[in-house]
Amino acid sequence: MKKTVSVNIKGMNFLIEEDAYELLQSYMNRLTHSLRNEKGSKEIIEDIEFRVAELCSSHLNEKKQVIEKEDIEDIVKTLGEPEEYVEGIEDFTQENKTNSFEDKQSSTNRRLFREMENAKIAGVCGGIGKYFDIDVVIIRAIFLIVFFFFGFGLPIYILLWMILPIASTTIDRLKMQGKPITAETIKEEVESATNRLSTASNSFANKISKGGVYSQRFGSIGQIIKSFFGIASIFIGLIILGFFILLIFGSNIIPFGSDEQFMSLTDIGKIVLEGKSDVYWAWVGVSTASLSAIFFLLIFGTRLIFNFKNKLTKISLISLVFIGFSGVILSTYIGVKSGREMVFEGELEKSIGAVDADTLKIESHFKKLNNSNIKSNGNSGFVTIDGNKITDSGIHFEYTESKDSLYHIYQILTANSSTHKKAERKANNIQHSILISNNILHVNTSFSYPKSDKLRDQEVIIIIQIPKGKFVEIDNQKVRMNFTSRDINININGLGDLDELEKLELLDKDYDEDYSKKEGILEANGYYESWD
Amino acid sequence: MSLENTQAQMRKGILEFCILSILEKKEAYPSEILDRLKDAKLIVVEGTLYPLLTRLKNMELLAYRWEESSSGPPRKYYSLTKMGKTFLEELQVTWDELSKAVTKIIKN
Repeated sequence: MKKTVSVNIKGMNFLIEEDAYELLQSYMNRLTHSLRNEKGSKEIIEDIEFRVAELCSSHLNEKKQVIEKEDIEDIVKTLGEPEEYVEGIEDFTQENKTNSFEDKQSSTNRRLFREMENAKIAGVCGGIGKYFDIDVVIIRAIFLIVFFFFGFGLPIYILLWMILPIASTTIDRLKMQGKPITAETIKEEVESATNRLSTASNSFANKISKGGVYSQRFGSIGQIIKSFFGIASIFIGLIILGFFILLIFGSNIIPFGSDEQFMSLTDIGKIVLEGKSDVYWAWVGVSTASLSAIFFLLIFGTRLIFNFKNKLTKISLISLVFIGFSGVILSTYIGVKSGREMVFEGELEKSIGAVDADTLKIESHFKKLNNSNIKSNGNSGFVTIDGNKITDSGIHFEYTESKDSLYHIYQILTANSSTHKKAERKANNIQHSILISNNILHVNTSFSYPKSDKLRDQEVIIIIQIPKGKFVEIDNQKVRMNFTSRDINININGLGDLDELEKLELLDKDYDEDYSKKEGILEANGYYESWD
Repeated sequence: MSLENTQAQMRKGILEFCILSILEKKEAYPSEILDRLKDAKLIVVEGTLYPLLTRLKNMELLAYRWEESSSGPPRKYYSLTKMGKTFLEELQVTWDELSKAVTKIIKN
């Protein structure tokens, strides 16, 4: 004994057994689902309903008054699985491309849940997969890659595990798939849940074997690329954040045992910029620019990954660009303003003395910096701040010919400022020790000036005039002057190292100031490097 | 690409042409068209026809009218529009050329 129901199909009444009715209903649902992207789907469904009515009546006769399950099975077989013929016609037109785009848009309304039905751990990947309509295997693969290469996949997973609710009710499942909650969709979802449970569902087998899956996959590849860029931009954002924290606080926040420390933005500002307000504004400018960039990257990345398309994120991204630019403009303004503090050069020349010897030896003096309070960001080249003193290193050397038989030594101190006078005053503030003792020139490799003078391109240049035929010995290197065409006949010895071509070149040259000059620099660690 | 797939592609292309050809002679309702197509073994599942008919109608190549039926639900009788006739003529030319070309290539 079986229960029958009465149905009206396009104006015709049929008596149909309950299981047969369910089968038919499920077929119509699959059809509606398959046609959701097709233009005029309503009409197609209607036409097929007419055909169903026709086929139903053809299955009935005077003896047989009720539609049975076998009849519906036969009708379904005649009509074919919707996935089969609907995918078939899609290839004809390009229309479905725009339609599938609309379908993608509908994902905006989706909600993230944890999908416990096929969960491996806590259903996070499954939930994300449902959200993007991507195969869960791909999401799991991305999580594994992120976990192994970047190391933050696990914390993200745990975080999502804690945050995301489980899709436990039918309504949750609908929200998860971005479907509107109506009586019809709820019914549909419940039905599809029963279908999922009964493995007999044909549609599943069809989905796997037919190319229809391809178009869905294609859409998700785009999403994978998006997610990849999203992750990359969040990653870059986090790197910038790290640098930003280092820049704001200096390496004081990291308990390093070393003497060397990375200077914070304020520390650098204090020794570079003129006034306190400049330091403040530079700080504001750089912070605004960096924070905007960080937030932009983080929001943009999240938006790419989770496909947020709401106005709020769009507006905040645009405003972050503007805020960021104003930060850049402010920083640039402060930079230009400080640049004006460097326009004029002041120079101070001191004569150190004259030496009468066969060879002038230069000995470098440097002390190891082992004060734990100093701040610097490099062992040579850049500055060290020690109390109220800025210590700078690297002494420039310039060699010219001596007009007599003596070595003449001069010390030149230079600095820049907004006026010539100020620059000279700053040059005068430079302390650099140099002295001659027993025909040896003792030179300190570093020099210092008051912190209040700021970094104004302070330099120390030692000028040594070398007599003809003699040389200077520094850091085990010999410095000897080249001789100009004027002197070529007198000083053949000096040309001993040169070949014929170079001799000819020398003869062609007129007396040239630069040519009779040699330069070098004595580094903080006592190493001498010549600049030829 | 499997053999099945290639065959499906070939059939699909020809199907529209055949539907139009069937309707050229006289108007018909879906079941009649289905009978003809199934007879010729052009389609396997009936569902294939309906989206095609709707599409051809939306392209204004086909028009239809309703007719009551004594034995079942009302029927949609499809017929070619003027544009449909022109369209079919074009297809006919293409088909002739193609079939000649294909025969020639297969035979040699």
